[in-house]
Amino acid sequence: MFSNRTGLIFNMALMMLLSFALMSCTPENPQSTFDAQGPISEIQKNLFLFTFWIAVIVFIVVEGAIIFVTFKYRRKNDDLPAQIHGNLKLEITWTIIPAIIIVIISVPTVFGIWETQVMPDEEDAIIIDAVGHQWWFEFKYPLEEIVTANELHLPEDKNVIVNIESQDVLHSFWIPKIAGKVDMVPNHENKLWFRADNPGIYYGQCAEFCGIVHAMMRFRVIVHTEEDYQRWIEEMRTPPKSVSSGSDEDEGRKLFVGNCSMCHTNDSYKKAAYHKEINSQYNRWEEWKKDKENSAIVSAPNLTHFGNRLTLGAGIKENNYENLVKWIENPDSIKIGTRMKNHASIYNADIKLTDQEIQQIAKYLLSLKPENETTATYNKE
Amino acid sequence: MSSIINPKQFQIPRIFPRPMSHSGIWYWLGTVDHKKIGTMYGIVSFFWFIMGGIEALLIRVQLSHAEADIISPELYNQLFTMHGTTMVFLVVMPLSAAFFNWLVPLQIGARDVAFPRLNALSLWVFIFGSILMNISWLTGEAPNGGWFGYPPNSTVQFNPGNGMTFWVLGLNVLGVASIAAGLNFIVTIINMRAPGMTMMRMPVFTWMTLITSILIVLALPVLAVAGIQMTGDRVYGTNFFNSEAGGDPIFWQHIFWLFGHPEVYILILPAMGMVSEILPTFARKPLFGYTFIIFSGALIGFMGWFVWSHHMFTVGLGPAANTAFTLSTMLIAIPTGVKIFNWIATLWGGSIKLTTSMLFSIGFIAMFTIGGLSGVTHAISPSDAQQQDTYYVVAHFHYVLFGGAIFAIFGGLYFWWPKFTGYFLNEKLGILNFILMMIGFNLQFAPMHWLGLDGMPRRIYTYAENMGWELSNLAATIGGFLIAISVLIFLINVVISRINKKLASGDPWDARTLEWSISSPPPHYNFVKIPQVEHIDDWWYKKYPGLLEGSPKQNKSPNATVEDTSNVDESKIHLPDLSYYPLFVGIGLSLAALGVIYTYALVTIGLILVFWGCIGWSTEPVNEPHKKHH
Amino acid sequence: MSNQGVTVHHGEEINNSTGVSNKKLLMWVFLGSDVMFFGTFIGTFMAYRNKSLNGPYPADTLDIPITSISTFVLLMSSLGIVLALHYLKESKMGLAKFWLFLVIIMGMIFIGFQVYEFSHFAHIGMTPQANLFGSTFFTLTSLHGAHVSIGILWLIFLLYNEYKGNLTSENAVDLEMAGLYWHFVDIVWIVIFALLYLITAGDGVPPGGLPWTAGH
Repeated sequence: MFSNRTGLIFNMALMMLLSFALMSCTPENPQSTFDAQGPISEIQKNLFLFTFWIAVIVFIVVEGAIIFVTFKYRRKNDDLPAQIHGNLKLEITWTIIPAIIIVIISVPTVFGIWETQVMPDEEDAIIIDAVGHQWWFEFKYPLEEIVTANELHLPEDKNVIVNIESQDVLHSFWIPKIAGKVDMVPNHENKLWFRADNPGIYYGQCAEFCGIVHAMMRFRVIVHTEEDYQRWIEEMRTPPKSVSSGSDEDEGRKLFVGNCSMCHTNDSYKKAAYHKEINSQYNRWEEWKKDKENSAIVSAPNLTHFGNRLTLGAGIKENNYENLVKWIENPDSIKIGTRMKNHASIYNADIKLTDQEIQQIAKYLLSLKPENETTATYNKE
Repeated sequence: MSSIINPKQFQIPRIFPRPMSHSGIWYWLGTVDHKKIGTMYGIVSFFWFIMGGIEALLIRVQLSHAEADIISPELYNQLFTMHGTTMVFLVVMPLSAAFFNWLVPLQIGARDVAFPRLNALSLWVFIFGSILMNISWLTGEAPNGGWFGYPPNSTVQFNPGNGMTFWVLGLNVLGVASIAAGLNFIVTIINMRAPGMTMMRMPVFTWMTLITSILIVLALPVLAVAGIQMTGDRVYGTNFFNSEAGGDPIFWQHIFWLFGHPEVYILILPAMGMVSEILPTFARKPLFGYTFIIFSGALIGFMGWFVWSHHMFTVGLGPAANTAFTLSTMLIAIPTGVKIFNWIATLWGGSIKLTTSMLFSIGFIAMFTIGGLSGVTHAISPSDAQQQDTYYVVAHFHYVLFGGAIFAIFGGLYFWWPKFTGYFLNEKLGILNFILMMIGFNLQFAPMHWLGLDGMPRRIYTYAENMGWELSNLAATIGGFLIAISVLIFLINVVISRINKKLASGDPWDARTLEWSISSPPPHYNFVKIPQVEHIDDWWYKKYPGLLEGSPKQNKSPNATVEDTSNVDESKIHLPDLSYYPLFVGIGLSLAALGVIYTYALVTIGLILVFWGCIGWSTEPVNEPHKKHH
Repeated sequence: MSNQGVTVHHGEEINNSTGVSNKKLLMWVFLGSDVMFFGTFIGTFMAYRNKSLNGPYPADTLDIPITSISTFVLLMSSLGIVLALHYLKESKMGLAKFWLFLVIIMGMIFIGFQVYEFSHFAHIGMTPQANLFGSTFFTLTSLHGAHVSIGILWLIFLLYNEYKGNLTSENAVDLEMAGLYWHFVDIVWIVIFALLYLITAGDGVPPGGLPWTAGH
């Protein structure tokens, strides 16, 4: 059994050791805020570290004082110690010093707020409309007239302004390595700006509790070089590779049209498809609102060129044949509570797909890659 | 309501006779004695502490590994919702109320609170309100929208079913309990202090109770409004937060946090009050800077109204609003910091005895400092954009609420236990309790700072394997179980100490305030003679009058003895008689709330009970007429 | 006091600082808390002003002349209760009962006007469910009406006790508490009337069209 004193030292030491050991930054982790890959996250990280180190000094002084007094003034005898009631000078000093520290921290903070939260010029920026849905992310490029889901493609070194909204409940748009989050609020249009310094694949995640499977609402951000980005834009306007008639992919295409296309659009490479998709999504949502229990339609992720996506299910599983088959067969096996499972007619007891049909749909979807695709654009993670 | 001077003329007919016996179940159900009420608050809220702890352990088990599927997402969402709601409303607030009830009348030299039956009402509304909220577990639909209930996720459009309705009705009922108690303690503290006890001679705990009570009566009505609006939306189809009708989800956040930020000061100020009593006792020195500590407490209470949107830095308020709230939040760090320095200065130069309650109090200062520092990093809106909704926030508030409030409450339990019961809690078990809790708590919550900065969001029932979060989560889970063991040790301590009954005198710690000048446990009338107060820490100076002349090494005055109750003629003592009306009003209120969910018949029955209870209460004399005054 | 024969007179009040009895202080603090309650509802109303996505709008529905009458009645009832209290303190029981009775009647007239007003609104499609205006208007005014109704019940109870001889100049504080409550409810109504009726009653379709909605 520890004595009081040993116990106390042990606790304090353990706590400090643990905190520091576990708090060592691991910027290599996919969502670490210590690996700032753009000016916004850089400013936010620096402000944090500035305050953090001041806090560490305060911590050492205060905790040190606590440990010191606890040992130095242990009871030795029954005498009453000097009965000091206070010391105005001391109290004023230790009111003023924290006030000064607060002022010191405030100055760069206020600059940081204005720098990170005031939008740059729209002229030189990429504009994205990000719409939160339960439980997936819709990304629209109003200038380029492209629409996609759960994967955001951007060029390096260019300002990006994201118009952030939500179709249903609160969500939050967060790419930790690139910028702090901004919430997606229905009936509001929030804005976020950032820039990505380096090409790469970045992780994003919804960071506002949004219902049953909030934990599985994630996305990927792929930052390209400028040329690769332009190539990607072109590819999004190119039809997919044609499939030979009678092949599994072709059968899958027919099944897709019959069973999936009322919710999932996959041909937004066509001309005028952009506005059509916006209307379709709006209509699907209005339909769903009329009967939230039993509707056979709901707004759903756009699947144009799905074959090139890195993940499925909103950033949660690698997009490959095995996972895709599992997903189509029963989305609940990967992500419980999806609207797809609750509303798609193929999950009604009487309308079921055979195993072969599911495989055909999967093959079809994976074949959706642009005709002129150059594989250099995409690296699997 | 009214004091009818001729009680024989009008009382509404009683269905049951008024309880008069001082033993048996009706003694407890009908008591209006602040000490009994305090005990009941303590027992019920400790029960909820264990429930909330089990909810936490289940959460931790699910998170101990990546992609675990021990708990389904729906159950997980219910667990974290109920864990947060339980710990805030059913544990910390009522445990603080237990201490308000026991200590305030004793510390100010009064025989009871200003309105004893209203006091009992607070207790019963709390108990039945807490049951109401937890009945939802039995229906399989516990609330699942988070303890903060943000719409639209909590609206009936996106969250049909009864779960969140239970939540919002439960909160409204509990709010009534808190407000009634707040009103009672404000009147008690302002109006019923012993002769000579000016405001600046009151013990710090009583001061903190006063400030907390003022915050309660001003903040809880705001929550009540949010609750009524959400009930209207969920049950009656109003549109306050219905985004499809133009309702604004951000508006809920404003109302909720306008309540919510003062609420966190409601949670911490009583704990600060307790620590401010314990430290001087075991350091044998007065509290350093009594005036500063009181003023900082009041300033924190006041400034706490101007910081609420720091909970909303990411919702898109704009740089001007974010700047304003960043600055106001940073300012509030100053009075908080002052208190920490004052407490350390209290220890400086003292003669420190590390009893269990002293260990918890010193632990409080250490842990609350950490929580306060992480709070300062939150105040900075840009870095908060990374921290918001991550485990970094979870770390922050657990350091201030567990390492802060709960540690202080445990310190208070060990300190005042002899006063409440007449015997000590075992010190050896107490120290084990402290050590395990300290280690377990830090093991659980320290890694969360890092997890948050590493990008782990809150309120997720699982996480992917390649995120690098598993080790910290596993450590946190182990820490959680260590905490559970330490609480078990506390419970064992309670049982063993009851069996061994190491008796305590009225003043076992050589303490400073009036409650230690009477026997342990106190007689039901508290003081044989209402004291005449001349100083802060009046009891201390009665014991050591030489200190007033500035001489530190003084012997105890032989005149200062704990009150002797042996010569008191109890037949001449008239305290308020028991009453069952508060119990029935409490039941009625919760029944009516339950009826809002299920059937108007139940609402009617509930309201009839409330109405009958109120009329009965108003016409019931404080004492039954057969007892004559002398 | 000696150590023998401890006597406690419950209600013995050691009024330390304020000189205000426990009951009066309780009522004052309660009213402070009620300010926060009504303040939040009023704030909600003002925040949602001109934000309804569809009618009926205030301009279509509110009738200032009628509501002015009920407002006047309520204001006069505050004068009435001042007089009732005054006569009670002077033990002029006849006048005290008369004025208290009148206050109750005036309160009932106010509630009667509200009931009439609300049923008229329901007829023209203004309900709490219709839009934001309906939700905010009805919750605010209904909760105020509930406060008035509880006040009326309380005053009836007090009047009954006057008849039974239980309420006299000695325990007039009980009427004074109710009087404070009644004045408060009156003041809240003045604020509501000014904001909901006088200032916003001209609001029609929100200027600048309807707010932007997501999905488009």
